[in-house]
Amino acid sequence: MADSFKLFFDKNDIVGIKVNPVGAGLIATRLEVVDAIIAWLRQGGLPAKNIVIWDRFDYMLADAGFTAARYPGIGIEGLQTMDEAAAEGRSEDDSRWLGKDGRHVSEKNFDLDAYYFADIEAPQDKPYLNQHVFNGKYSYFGRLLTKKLTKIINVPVFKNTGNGISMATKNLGYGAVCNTNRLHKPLFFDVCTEVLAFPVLRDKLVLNVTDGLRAQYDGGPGPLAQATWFLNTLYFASDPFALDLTCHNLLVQKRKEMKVAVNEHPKYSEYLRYAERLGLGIADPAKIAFSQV
Amino acid sequence: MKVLLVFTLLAVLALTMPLAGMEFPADGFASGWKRSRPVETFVPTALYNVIDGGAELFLEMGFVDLRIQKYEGAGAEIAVEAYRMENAAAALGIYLLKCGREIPLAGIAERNSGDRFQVALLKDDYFIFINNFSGREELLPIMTALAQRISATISVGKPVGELDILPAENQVPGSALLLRGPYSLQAVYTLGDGDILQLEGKRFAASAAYRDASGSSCMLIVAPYEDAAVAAKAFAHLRRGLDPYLRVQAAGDGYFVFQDFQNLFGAAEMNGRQIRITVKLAQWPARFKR
Repeated sequence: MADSFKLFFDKNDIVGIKVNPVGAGLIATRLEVVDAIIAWLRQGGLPAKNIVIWDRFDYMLADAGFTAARYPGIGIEGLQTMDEAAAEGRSEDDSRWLGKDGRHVSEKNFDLDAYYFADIEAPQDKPYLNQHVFNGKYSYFGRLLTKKLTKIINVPVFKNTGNGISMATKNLGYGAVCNTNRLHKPLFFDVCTEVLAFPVLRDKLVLNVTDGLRAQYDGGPGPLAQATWFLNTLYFASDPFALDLTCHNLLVQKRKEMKVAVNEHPKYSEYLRYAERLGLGIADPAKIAFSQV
Repeated sequence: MKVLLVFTLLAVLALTMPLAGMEFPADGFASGWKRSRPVETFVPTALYNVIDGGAELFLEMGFVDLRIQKYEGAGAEIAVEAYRMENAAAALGIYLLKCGREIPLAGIAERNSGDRFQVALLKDDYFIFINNFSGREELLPIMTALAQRISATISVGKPVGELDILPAENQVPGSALLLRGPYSLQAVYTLGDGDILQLEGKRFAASAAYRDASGSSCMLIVAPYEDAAVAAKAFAHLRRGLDPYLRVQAAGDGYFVFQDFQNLFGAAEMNGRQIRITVKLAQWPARFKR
C-alpha cells in the first residue's frame, strides 16, 4: 500500500477527494469507500489536514454524511452554498445566499481567471443564481481546485444518466465548475470532455475510483431504488475516459439483462472518443487493459 | 326508506364528486410516524434543484409541480415526492419511463412498482415516489400505508388511451412507453436531433417491443397527428433531419428504409395521420422493395 501511495502522491500534497453525494442514502459515494481512501492516504504519510472531501454543494455533502463530525481533522468543502428554502419558494429571505451587493455569497469561492466558456445563455432568475452562483456564459472553476489542491482522487458512483453514464468524467465535468445547468441541453456529455481538458483537472487528477458497491442501471442520474443492485465492485483507473468507456459498456450489458429499453447510439459515448482525439485519454476498448482482482 | 334513500344519494355523491386534490397523510398515519418538516413545493423552473440533469424528461412530459413531504419514525425517514403532471397520460408516460421493469407491491390497489427502498405509484395526474433510503425491510408496511393513504385522496381519472395506437399482437409485455419529445424518444431510439418527430410536447407517440413466434424482434414507434397534412409535414422533417448514423437504403412515396450503426434495419412510413417507424430489424423489411 505504501508503494502505491508513492505512485501518485508525496507527503506535501493537498489531496481532494471528489465524491458524488447526489442520491444520498441510496446511490451516493459510500462513506466506507472514502474511509478506505483516507486510510490509505494516512498510511502513506499524508496528514489529515492535507485531505479535503469536496463537491459542488455544501448541503449535499452534509446530506450524504460527509460531515466534520464523521471525518474529524479532514477538510469538508462544498464549492458553493445554496439555500434550498429560498430556491423552493418556501422562504422570502435570500440573505443566506445573496449578498447585499446582489451577488451570490459563494462568488469568492470561484476563480475568475479559470473558466469554461460556452456561448450559451443561462436563465436570469433567482433560483438559478441561487443554485449556480453565476448566470453568464462563464462556468468558473472552484478556487479549491485552482489554488489549494495539488492532487485529486475522483470517486463517482456507478450509475446511468439516460442512455449514458454519470460516472468519472461527469462527476468532475459538472462538479468542478459552476453555472452548469445551461450546459446540459446543448452540450451535455461534451462538457465532461472539455472541462477535464483544463490543466487544473488534467494535471491534478491522478486516480479515479468508481464506486460500484451499489450501482444503478436505470432512472439515473437521480436515485431509483428498484434499479439499483449490489454490484460489489470498485473500478480503479488513472484514465477517467478509459474507465468511463469500460463502465459504459458494462452498464449497457446490465440494462439489456434487465430488459430495460436500450438505445446504443454511438452519440452516448462519443464524448469519450472526442477525448481520445484530443489526447486526453483512451476510448478504444482494444487499448484498455481491464484487470479483475 | 327515507334514510336508505338519503344514504344511497350520499354514497353516489361521494363516488361522483371530485376529490379536492392529493393530500399527504397527517401525523400519526401510522403509529409513531409524523411529518419531519413542512411540505416543499417545486414549480417547473425550480425542478432542476431536485433532479439536476434529469428534469428535462419531466418537463417534456408535462410537469406541473412537485411536492415533497418527509416523515420520521422508528429512527428512519421516508420521503414522499408527488409529481403532478398535466394529465393522466403525462403521469403514465413518466411512470413507464421511470419504473423500468414493473414489480407491483402487494397491498397497494393502484398501479405501482417498487421494493423496500422505493415505491413508484401512479394515479390519475400523479406520479409519486415513496423513498425509504434506509432500505429497512420492516418499513415496507409504512410505505404501503403511505401509498394507500395518499392514493385515497386522489380522484380516479379517465382511462388513458394513448397506448392503444400500438398493435397488441406480439407486443412484449411491459415494453410499452409513451413519448412526448426528444428526451423520452431517446430512451427508445435516436432518429435525429431535437424534436425530430415534431411531437412538440403536446402529442403523445407510443413505442413497444415486438417478438413473433419465430423469435424475430423489432421496436415499433407510432406517432399520431391531428390530420394527414400535419403528419406529412412531420414525416418530411424526419426525412430531412434523419440521424447521420442512419443510412437510407431505399425510399418511395411515403416511406424510407434505413440501416443503422449496428447494421440493423428500420423503416419509416406514413400511415394516414400516423407515422409508423419500425427499428432494430435483423432483416430487410419484406413489405418494401430493396
